[in-house]
Amino acid sequence: MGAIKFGDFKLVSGTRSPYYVDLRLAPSYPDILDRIGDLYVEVIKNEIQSTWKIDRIAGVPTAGLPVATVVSQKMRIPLIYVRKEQKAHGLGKSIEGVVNTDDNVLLVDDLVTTGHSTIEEAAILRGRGNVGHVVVLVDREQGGPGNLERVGLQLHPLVKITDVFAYLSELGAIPPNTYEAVMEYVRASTKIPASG
Amino acid sequence: MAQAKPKVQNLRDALARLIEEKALFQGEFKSPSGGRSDYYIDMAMIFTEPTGLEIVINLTLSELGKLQVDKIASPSVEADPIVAVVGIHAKLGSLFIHHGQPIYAYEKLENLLSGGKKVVIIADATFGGHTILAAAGALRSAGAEVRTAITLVDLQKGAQGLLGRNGIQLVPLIEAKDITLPGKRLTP
Repeated sequence: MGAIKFGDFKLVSGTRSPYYVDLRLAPSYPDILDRIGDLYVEVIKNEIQSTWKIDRIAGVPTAGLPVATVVSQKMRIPLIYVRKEQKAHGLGKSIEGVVNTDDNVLLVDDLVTTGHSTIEEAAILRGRGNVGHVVVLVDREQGGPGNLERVGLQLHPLVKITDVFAYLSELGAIPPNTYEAVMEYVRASTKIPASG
Repeated sequence: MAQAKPKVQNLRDALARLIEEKALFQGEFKSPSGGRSDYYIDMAMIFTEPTGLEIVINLTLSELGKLQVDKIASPSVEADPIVAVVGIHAKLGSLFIHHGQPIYAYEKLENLLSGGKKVVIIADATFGGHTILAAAGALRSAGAEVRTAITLVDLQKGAQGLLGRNGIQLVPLIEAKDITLPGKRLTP
Protein backbone atom coordinates (compact mmCIF):
# COMPACT_ATOMS: atom_id res chain seq x y z
CA MET A 1 0.00 0.00 0.00
CA GLY A 2 3.06 2.25 -0.17
CA ALA A 3 3.19 2.92 3.56
CA ILE A 4 7.00 2.89 3.46
CA LYS A 5 8.63 5.31 1.10
CA PHE A 6 12.35 5.73 0.40
CA GLY A 7 13.88 9.09 -0.43
CA ASP A 8 14.59 12.19 1.65
CA PHE A 9 11.97 13.11 4.22
CA LYS A 10 11.59 15.62 7.01
CA LEU A 11 10.27 14.15 10.24
CA VAL A 12 7.98 15.79 12.81
CA SER A 13 11.07 16.35 14.97
CA GLY A 14 12.66 18.44 12.17
CA THR A 15 15.42 15.92 11.39
CA ARG A 16 15.73 14.26 7.99
CA SER A 17 15.28 10.61 7.19
CA PRO A 18 16.01 8.46 4.11
CA TYR A 19 12.71 6.62 4.64
CA TYR A 20 9.19 7.47 5.81
CA VAL A 21 6.49 5.26 7.29
CA ASP A 22 2.98 6.63 6.79
CA LEU A 23 0.41 4.61 8.71
CA ARG A 24 -2.20 7.21 7.90
CA LEU A 25 -2.64 5.32 4.65
CA ALA A 26 -3.72 2.10 6.39
CA PRO A 27 -7.43 3.03 6.74
CA SER A 28 -7.57 3.39 2.94
CA TYR A 29 -7.24 -0.39 2.88
CA PRO A 30 -9.85 -1.74 5.32
CA ASP A 31 -8.66 -5.35 5.26
CA ILE A 32 -5.11 -4.23 6.08
CA LEU A 33 -6.34 -1.97 8.92
CA ASP A 34 -8.38 -4.89 10.26
CA ARG A 35 -5.36 -7.23 10.22
CA ILE A 36 -3.13 -4.59 11.80
CA GLY A 37 -5.79 -4.23 14.52
CA ASP A 38 -5.66 -8.01 15.12
CA LEU A 39 -1.86 -7.85 15.46
CA TYR A 40 -2.11 -5.06 18.06
CA VAL A 41 -4.67 -7.13 20.00
CA GLU A 42 -2.37 -10.17 19.90
CA VAL A 43 0.59 -8.22 21.30
CA ILE A 44 -1.60 -6.54 23.93
CA LYS A 45 -3.00 -9.88 25.10
CA ASN A 46 0.36 -11.69 25.09
CA GLU A 47 2.63 -9.00 26.49
CA ILE A 48 0.48 -6.74 28.65
CA GLN A 49 -2.97 -7.93 29.62
CA SER A 50 -1.84 -10.98 31.59
CA THR A 51 -0.12 -8.78 34.18
CA TRP A 52 -1.76 -5.37 33.75
CA LYS A 53 -5.51 -4.79 33.60
CA ILE A 54 -6.32 -2.31 30.84
CA ASP A 55 -9.17 0.11 31.55
CA ARG A 56 -8.73 2.53 28.68
CA ILE A 57 -7.18 2.54 25.19
CA ALA A 58 -5.65 5.95 24.46
CA GLY A 59 -5.32 6.75 20.76
CA VAL A 60 -2.75 9.28 19.62
CA PRO A 61 -4.09 11.52 16.81
CA THR A 62 -3.69 11.72 13.90
CA ALA A 63 -2.14 8.43 12.75
CA GLY A 64 -2.71 6.43 15.96
CA LEU A 65 -6.37 7.25 16.50
CA PRO A 66 -7.98 5.07 13.78
CA VAL A 67 -6.10 1.92 14.80
CA ALA A 68 -6.71 2.68 18.50
CA THR A 69 -10.44 2.80 17.79
CA VAL A 70 -10.23 -0.53 15.97
CA VAL A 71 -8.39 -2.05 18.96
CA SER A 72 -10.93 -0.51 21.36
CA GLN A 73 -13.79 -2.12 19.45
CA LYS A 74 -12.10 -5.52 19.10
CA MET A 75 -11.25 -5.67 22.83
CA ARG A 76 -14.41 -3.86 24.01
CA ILE A 77 -12.28 -1.47 26.08
CA PRO A 78 -13.36 2.22 26.12
CA LEU A 79 -11.33 4.68 24.02
CA ILE A 80 -9.93 8.05 25.04
CA TYR A 81 -7.77 10.48 23.10
CA VAL A 82 -5.85 13.69 23.67
CA ARG A 83 -6.75 16.54 21.38
CA LYS A 84 -3.75 17.95 19.52
CA GLU A 85 -5.38 21.33 19.12
CA GLN A 86 -7.54 22.78 21.87
CA LYS A 87 -11.05 22.95 20.44
CA ALA A 88 -12.38 26.49 20.27
CA HIS A 89 -15.96 25.29 20.03
CA GLY A 90 -18.05 22.88 22.04
CA LEU A 91 -16.78 21.83 25.45
CA GLY A 92 -13.14 22.83 24.83
CA LYS A 93 -11.88 19.66 26.53
CA SER A 94 -8.33 18.39 26.06
CA ILE A 95 -9.20 14.71 26.53
CA GLU A 96 -12.11 13.05 24.73
CA GLY A 97 -13.93 10.15 26.33
CA VAL A 98 -14.13 9.22 30.00
CA VAL A 99 -11.13 8.35 32.18
CA ASN A 100 -11.05 7.84 35.95
CA THR A 101 -8.05 8.59 38.20
CA ASP A 102 -7.16 4.97 38.98
CA ASP A 103 -7.69 3.70 35.41
CA ASN A 104 -4.84 1.88 33.67
CA VAL A 105 -4.39 3.59 30.31
CA LEU A 106 -2.71 1.84 27.37
CA LEU A 107 -1.21 4.19 24.77
CA VAL A 108 -1.73 3.11 21.15
CA ASP A 109 0.23 4.88 18.43
CA ASP A 110 1.53 4.16 14.94
CA LEU A 111 5.27 4.40 15.52
CA VAL A 112 8.01 5.51 17.86
CA THR A 113 11.19 7.28 16.76
CA THR A 114 12.95 8.81 19.77
CA GLY A 115 9.88 8.55 21.99
CA HIS A 116 9.71 12.32 22.47
CA SER A 117 6.11 12.82 21.32
CA THR A 118 4.95 9.67 23.13
CA ILE A 119 6.43 11.00 26.37
CA GLU A 120 4.55 14.29 25.91
CA GLU A 121 1.32 12.41 25.27
CA ALA A 122 1.84 10.21 28.34
CA ALA A 123 2.54 13.27 30.50
CA ILE A 124 -0.87 14.76 29.62
CA LEU A 125 -2.62 11.46 30.31
CA ARG A 126 -0.72 10.83 33.54
CA GLY A 127 -2.57 13.70 35.13
CA ARG A 128 -5.67 11.57 34.60
CA GLY A 129 -4.79 7.86 34.89
CA ASN A 130 -1.91 5.35 35.12
CA VAL A 131 0.10 5.11 31.92
CA GLY A 132 2.62 2.24 31.90
CA HIS A 133 2.64 0.71 28.42
CA VAL A 134 2.78 1.84 24.81
CA VAL A 135 1.98 -0.31 21.77
CA VAL A 136 3.13 0.77 18.32
CA LEU A 137 3.27 -0.88 14.92
CA VAL A 138 6.84 0.22 14.17
CA ASP A 139 9.84 0.99 16.38
CA ARG A 140 12.14 3.14 14.24
CA GLU A 141 14.99 2.13 16.60
CA GLN A 142 16.29 5.60 17.27
CA GLY A 143 16.41 5.35 21.04
CA GLY A 144 12.66 5.02 21.67
CA PRO A 145 12.56 2.04 24.05
CA GLY A 146 15.34 3.40 26.29
CA ASN A 147 13.98 6.92 26.42
CA LEU A 148 10.50 5.62 27.24
CA GLU A 149 11.83 3.25 29.90
CA ARG A 150 13.51 6.16 31.71
CA VAL A 151 10.07 7.69 32.30
CA GLY A 152 8.46 4.40 33.27
CA LEU A 153 6.90 3.50 29.92
CA GLN A 154 7.34 0.04 28.46
CA LEU A 155 7.32 -0.09 24.67
CA HIS A 156 5.70 -2.98 22.78
CA PRO A 157 6.40 -2.68 19.04
CA LEU A 158 4.76 -5.07 16.58
CA VAL A 159 7.88 -4.83 14.39
CA LYS A 160 11.30 -3.21 14.42
CA ILE A 161 12.18 -1.15 11.39
CA THR A 162 15.45 -3.01 10.68
CA ASP A 163 13.45 -6.27 10.53
CA VAL A 164 11.15 -4.62 7.99
CA PHE A 165 14.16 -3.51 5.90
CA ALA A 166 15.72 -6.98 6.10
CA TYR A 167 12.45 -8.55 4.99
CA LEU A 168 12.01 -6.10 2.09
CA SER A 169 15.61 -6.66 1.05
CA GLU A 170 15.17 -10.43 1.13
CA LEU A 171 12.06 -10.12 -1.04
CA GLY A 172 14.04 -7.99 -3.48
CA ALA A 173 11.61 -5.11 -2.86
CA ILE A 174 14.44 -2.68 -2.15
CA PRO A 175 17.81 -2.58 -3.94
CA PRO A 176 20.98 -3.42 -1.93
CA ASN A 177 22.27 0.19 -1.92
CA THR A 178 18.98 1.50 -0.48
CA TYR A 179 19.05 -1.27 2.11
CA GLU A 180 22.63 -0.37 3.11
CA ALA A 181 21.76 3.35 3.27
CA VAL A 182 18.73 2.97 5.53
CA MET A 183 20.48 0.43 7.78
CA GLU A 184 23.42 2.83 8.12
CA TYR A 185 21.00 5.67 8.92
CA VAL A 186 19.39 3.64 11.71
CA ARG A 187 22.80 2.57 13.10
CA ALA A 188 24.03 6.18 13.10
CA SER A 189 20.96 7.56 14.81
CA THR A 190 20.30 4.85 17.38
CA LYS A 191 20.86 6.96 20.44
CA ILE A 192 19.08 10.25 20.08
CA PRO A 193 18.04 11.68 23.44
CA ALA A 194 14.28 12.18 23.78
CA SER A 195 14.72 15.92 24.24
CA GLY A 196 16.42 16.24 20.81
CA MET B 1 -35.39 -7.45 5.41
CA ALA B 2 -38.86 -7.45 7.03
CA GLN B 3 -37.21 -7.10 10.42
CA ALA B 4 -34.77 -4.41 9.38
CA LYS B 5 -37.03 -1.43 9.89
CA PRO B 6 -38.14 -1.98 13.49
CA LYS B 7 -34.57 -2.93 14.39
CA VAL B 8 -33.16 0.27 12.94
CA GLN B 9 -35.87 2.31 14.68
CA ASN B 10 -35.00 0.61 17.99
CA LEU B 11 -31.34 1.44 17.48
CA ARG B 12 -32.21 5.06 16.70
CA ASP B 13 -34.25 5.29 19.90
CA ALA B 14 -31.45 3.66 21.86
CA LEU B 15 -28.96 6.16 20.43
CA ALA B 16 -31.21 9.14 21.24
CA ARG B 17 -31.60 7.94 24.86
CA LEU B 18 -27.84 7.30 25.13
CA ILE B 19 -27.16 10.84 23.90
CA GLU B 20 -29.56 12.29 26.48
CA GLU B 21 -27.89 10.25 29.22
CA LYS B 22 -24.20 10.71 28.33
CA ALA B 23 -23.52 13.23 25.60
CA LEU B 24 -25.88 16.14 26.17
CA PHE B 25 -24.48 19.23 27.87
CA GLN B 26 -26.39 22.39 28.69
CA GLY B 27 -24.88 25.87 28.85
CA GLU B 28 -23.66 28.35 26.31
CA PHE B 29 -21.55 26.90 23.54
CA LYS B 30 -19.89 28.19 20.40
CA SER B 31 -20.31 26.16 17.21
CA PRO B 32 -17.32 25.59 14.86
CA SER B 33 -18.59 28.28 12.48
CA GLY B 34 -19.06 30.81 15.28
CA GLY B 35 -22.79 30.36 15.92
CA ARG B 36 -24.13 29.99 19.47
CA SER B 37 -26.11 27.22 21.07
CA ASP B 38 -27.52 26.69 24.57
CA TYR B 39 -26.74 22.98 24.43
CA TYR B 40 -24.02 20.78 23.02
CA ILE B 41 -23.84 17.14 22.03
CA ASP B 42 -20.45 15.46 22.38
CA MET B 43 -20.63 12.28 20.31
CA ALA B 44 -17.19 11.18 21.55
CA MET B 45 -18.99 10.32 24.80
CA ILE B 46 -20.98 7.76 22.79
CA PHE B 47 -18.52 6.14 20.42
CA THR B 48 -15.60 5.90 22.83
CA GLU B 49 -17.66 3.40 24.78
CA PRO B 50 -18.24 -0.13 23.33
CA THR B 51 -22.08 -0.22 23.49
CA GLY B 52 -22.49 3.23 21.93
CA LEU B 53 -19.89 2.38 19.29
CA GLU B 54 -21.82 -0.77 18.25
CA ILE B 55 -25.05 1.19 17.87
CA VAL B 56 -23.39 3.94 15.84
CA ILE B 57 -21.62 1.40 13.58
CA ASN B 58 -24.85 -0.52 12.91
CA LEU B 59 -26.91 2.57 12.14
CA THR B 60 -24.21 4.00 9.88
CA LEU B 61 -23.85 0.67 8.03
CA SER B 62 -27.60 0.59 7.50
CA GLU B 63 -27.50 4.05 5.86
CA LEU B 64 -24.42 3.17 3.78
CA GLY B 65 -26.23 0.05 2.56
CA LYS B 66 -28.77 2.27 0.78
CA LEU B 67 -26.08 4.21 -1.10
CA GLN B 68 -23.68 3.65 -3.96
CA VAL B 69 -20.34 4.21 -2.32
CA ASP B 70 -16.68 3.46 -3.08
CA LYS B 71 -15.00 5.25 -0.15
CA ILE B 72 -15.97 6.97 3.06
CA ALA B 73 -14.33 10.12 4.40
CA SER B 74 -13.93 11.86 7.75
CA PRO B 75 -14.17 15.67 7.67
CA SER B 76 -12.47 16.23 11.07
CA VAL B 77 -10.48 14.45 13.79
CA GLU B 78 -13.70 14.07 15.81
CA ALA B 79 -15.09 11.72 13.15
CA ASP B 80 -11.86 9.76 12.47
CA PRO B 81 -12.57 7.01 15.03
CA ILE B 82 -16.03 6.18 13.73
CA VAL B 83 -15.01 6.41 10.07
CA ALA B 84 -12.08 4.02 10.57
CA VAL B 85 -14.17 1.27 12.23
CA VAL B 86 -17.14 1.70 9.90
CA GLY B 87 -14.67 1.33 7.00
CA ILE B 88 -13.58 -2.07 8.28
CA HIS B 89 -17.14 -3.34 8.71
CA ALA B 90 -18.35 -1.90 5.39
CA LYS B 91 -15.12 -3.07 3.68
CA LEU B 92 -14.64 0.47 2.36
CA GLY B 93 -11.43 2.46 2.41
CA SER B 94 -11.58 5.55 4.60
CA LEU B 95 -10.04 8.93 3.82
CA PHE B 96 -9.27 11.67 6.31
CA ILE B 97 -9.67 15.37 5.57
CA HIS B 98 -8.98 17.80 8.41
CA HIS B 99 -9.77 21.53 8.08
CA GLY B 100 -10.44 20.99 4.39
CA GLN B 101 -6.98 19.43 3.80
CA PRO B 102 -6.06 15.75 3.25
CA ILE B 103 -3.87 14.51 6.13
CA TYR B 104 -1.45 12.51 3.98
CA ALA B 105 2.16 13.59 3.96
CA TYR B 106 3.46 11.94 0.81
CA GLU B 107 0.42 10.60 -0.99
CA LYS B 108 -1.96 12.47 -3.27
CA LEU B 109 -5.68 12.19 -2.54
CA GLU B 110 -6.17 11.52 -6.26
CA ASN B 111 -4.18 8.28 -5.96
CA LEU B 112 -6.28 7.11 -3.01
CA LEU B 113 -9.40 7.64 -5.11
CA SER B 114 -8.17 5.50 -7.99
CA GLY B 115 -10.31 2.52 -6.89
CA GLY B 116 -13.58 4.48 -7.07
CA LYS B 117 -14.75 8.04 -6.85
CA LYS B 118 -18.11 7.92 -5.07
CA VAL B 119 -17.33 9.23 -1.58
CA VAL B 120 -19.73 9.50 1.36
CA ILE B 121 -18.62 11.82 4.15
CA ILE B 122 -19.38 10.69 7.72
CA ALA B 123 -19.44 13.38 10.44
CA ASP B 124 -19.84 13.01 14.20
CA ALA B 125 -22.13 16.01 14.52
CA THR B 126 -23.34 18.82 12.26
CA PHE B 127 -24.10 22.43 13.14
CA GLY B 128 -23.98 24.73 10.10
CA GLY B 129 -22.39 22.18 7.76
CA HIS B 130 -19.18 24.15 7.04
CA THR B 131 -16.80 21.37 8.12
CA ILE B 132 -18.41 18.88 5.75
CA LEU B 133 -18.47 21.43 2.94
CA ALA B 134 -14.72 22.09 3.35
CA ALA B 135 -13.98 18.34 3.21
CA ALA B 136 -16.24 17.93 0.17
CA GLY B 137 -14.31 20.73 -1.55
CA ALA B 138 -10.98 18.93 -1.05
CA LEU B 139 -12.44 15.61 -2.17
CA ARG B 140 -14.10 17.11 -5.23
CA SER B 141 -10.94 18.88 -6.37
CA ALA B 142 -9.21 15.49 -6.23
CA GLY B 143 -11.87 14.11 -8.57
CA ALA B 144 -14.32 12.60 -6.06
CA GLU B 145 -18.07 12.56 -6.48
CA VAL B 146 -19.62 13.71 -3.19
CA ARG B 147 -23.43 13.60 -3.06
CA THR B 148 -24.21 12.35 0.44
CA ALA B 149 -23.00 12.99 3.96
CA ILE B 150 -24.08 10.97 6.98
CA THR B 151 -24.01 12.71 10.35
CA LEU B 152 -24.45 10.91 13.66
CA VAL B 153 -26.39 13.87 15.01
CA ASP B 154 -27.61 17.01 13.25
CA LEU B 155 -28.15 19.92 15.61
CA GLN B 156 -30.32 21.55 12.94
CA LYS B 157 -28.34 24.77 12.74
CA GLY B 158 -28.45 25.07 8.96
CA ALA B 159 -26.34 22.13 7.74
CA GLN B 160 -29.12 20.51 5.68
CA GLY B 161 -29.73 23.78 3.79
CA LEU B 162 -26.09 24.73 3.21
CA LEU B 163 -25.10 21.24 2.07
CA GLY B 164 -28.26 20.84 -0.03
CA ARG B 165 -27.42 24.05 -1.92
CA ASN B 166 -24.01 22.52 -2.63
CA GLY B 167 -25.33 19.24 -4.01
CA ILE B 168 -24.88 17.18 -0.84
CA GLN B 169 -27.78 15.39 0.82
CA LEU B 170 -27.36 15.24 4.60
CA VAL B 171 -28.53 12.02 6.23
CA PRO B 172 -28.71 12.33 10.04
CA LEU B 173 -28.95 9.27 12.28
CA ILE B 174 -30.44 11.53 14.96
CA GLU B 175 -31.72 15.11 14.78
CA ALA B 176 -31.98 17.70 17.53
CA LYS B 177 -35.74 17.25 17.57
CA ASP B 178 -35.30 13.58 18.57
CA ILE B 179 -33.49 14.60 21.76
CA THR B 180 -35.35 15.57 24.89
CA LEU B 181 -34.01 17.59 27.80
CA PRO B 182 -35.78 17.28 31.13
CA GLY B 183 -38.73 19.65 30.78
CA LYS B 184 -37.60 20.93 27.41
CA ARG B 185 -37.57 19.70 23.84
CA LEU B 186 -34.51 20.61 21.82
CA THR B 187 -35.53 22.51 18.76
CA PRO B 188 -33.28 24.94 16.93
